[in-house]
Amino acid sequence: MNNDFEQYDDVELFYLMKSESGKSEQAFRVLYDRYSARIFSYCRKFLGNKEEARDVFQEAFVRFFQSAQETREMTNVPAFLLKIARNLCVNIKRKDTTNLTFEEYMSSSYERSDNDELLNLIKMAMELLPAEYKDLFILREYEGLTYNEIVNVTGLPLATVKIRLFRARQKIREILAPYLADLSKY
Amino acid sequence: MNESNFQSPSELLQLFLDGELETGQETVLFSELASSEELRSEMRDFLLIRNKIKSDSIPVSPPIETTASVFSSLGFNPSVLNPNSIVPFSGIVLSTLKKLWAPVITAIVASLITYFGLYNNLDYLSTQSHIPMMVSYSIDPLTQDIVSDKNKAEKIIYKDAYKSLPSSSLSNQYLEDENNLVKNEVISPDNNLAVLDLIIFENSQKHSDFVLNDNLRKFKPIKFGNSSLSVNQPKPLKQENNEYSLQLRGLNGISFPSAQVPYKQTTVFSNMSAAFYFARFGNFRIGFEFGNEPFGQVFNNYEGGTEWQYSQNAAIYWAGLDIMYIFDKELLFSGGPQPFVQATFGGTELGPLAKFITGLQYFSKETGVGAMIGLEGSLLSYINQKVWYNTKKIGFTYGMSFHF
Repeated sequence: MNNDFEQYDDVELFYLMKSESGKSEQAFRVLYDRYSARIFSYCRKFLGNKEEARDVFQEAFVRFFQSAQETREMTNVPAFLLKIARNLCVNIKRKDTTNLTFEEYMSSSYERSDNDELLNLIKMAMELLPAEYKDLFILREYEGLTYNEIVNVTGLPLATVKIRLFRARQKIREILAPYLADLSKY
Repeated sequence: MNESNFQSPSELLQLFLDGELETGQETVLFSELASSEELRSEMRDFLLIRNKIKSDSIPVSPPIETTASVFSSLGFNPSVLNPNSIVPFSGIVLSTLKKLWAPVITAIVASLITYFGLYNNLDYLSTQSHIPMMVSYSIDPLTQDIVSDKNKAEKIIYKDAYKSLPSSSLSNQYLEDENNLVKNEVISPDNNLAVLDLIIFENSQKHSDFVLNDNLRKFKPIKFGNSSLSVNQPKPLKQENNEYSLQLRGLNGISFPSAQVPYKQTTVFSNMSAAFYFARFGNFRIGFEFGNEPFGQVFNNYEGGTEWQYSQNAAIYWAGLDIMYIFDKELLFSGGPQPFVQATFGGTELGPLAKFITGLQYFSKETGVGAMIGLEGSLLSYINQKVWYNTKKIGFTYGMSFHF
């Protein structure tokens, strides 16, 4: 039955979610299938903690469905979903005021790739970034959002987005410097 | 840096990498790139980081219970989940295969070569078993004629099979009348050598030690009970005389897991092995081999309550016992390359090691010098803090050998 709905684009499905008939559920299922993996991955990368990521992910989709009943205008569904998920992640991070140390990162339950040392180091460096830098770094590098899309999702000024991204990258390069220097020898 | 002067070369570089650089700024950036090694290095680093991140950007589906919770929270039926949102069972299978693919591929290739090698041999046995064994007397021209005329030989078998002498008396009579038989049976135009051979064959099942071979050159003395009938043996293949051989081969493989740490060659004898084959039993050869090659290792280590992950690409020495099986099949030409499979069981300073090779080997019967090429799979097990880890390796191997 979902096959019929898969022909609809995101915005059409979003409006179908407002319908009171069974179409609302079907529309939601199709949108869930389209974006659940992306949102879940985002939550995991942002929070690191798998349990928290699951909770935020669940809450994000519930809010997404509820907001469809209220929102009148929609132009970019994935960005809207990402915005909800990000706000939830940021709230969680705000409550959690402790900074993650290197040792804590290494012993955290965050799943690391076993086979790729550089990738593990990048993830580690990312975890050591201040939350406001890490937030934008994930949106740009993992989600592939443009500067303007990041502005839309975060509500930050464009110049702030640029500066924070710049500093995030410089910080990551600084952390990886010894390893990158070793790599450049070969 | 503040928001109004976002113009340093590094800043421009990042805008460029993000596709956000304005056309007017490109000239400035490219000019800086041309003159600054530091900036180029920065660009390389960022590109490397970005590529790595890209390889890790595959979305991960949420667990099925999380999906069920979402739908339950909204009052939807969680049992009607789209299969696309569930991690399929095939994922588990693929995950398992991912861990085992190196030895599995080696085993499959080895099996295929074995199958084709044996298929040809079995095909030979099934079609040739009714061809009588040919004894090579000192009348080579006649013998050769008979051998080449297989249809005729088979016909004679069926025709004369019931006329064979009683098995109890055949051996002795044959031995006693050996010369007469040769003279009377072989030279007679109506009873050629095939008939004689049939008798030997039919009655040899309980008394003799026949070895079916595909040509006369491989003939061995035929024994009847405690007696031995000496036949004219042709010059045997060089292979069967070479009891010993030395082999030096190169190893070129990749490890799983890959340690992503550059391998440093610490000895000249690196990525190489040397073997000495000292015994032969039929098609089997037994030997001793040692070598040195890197094995990627990724393992965890608990230090002061923290779990660290270590990666290393250690070049280690290994040694083991080789068991090689060489198939009779000769490819391309008579005496040409022969398929072989080999298993090595041994150890390293880190732990036990097993190797499996399948490939082709060839050597000149005149000089005894040979070469080999093959596909090799290795499995190294090692232990750290009471946890066992495995490193699989697959690659090509090639080498030279000297048989004596």
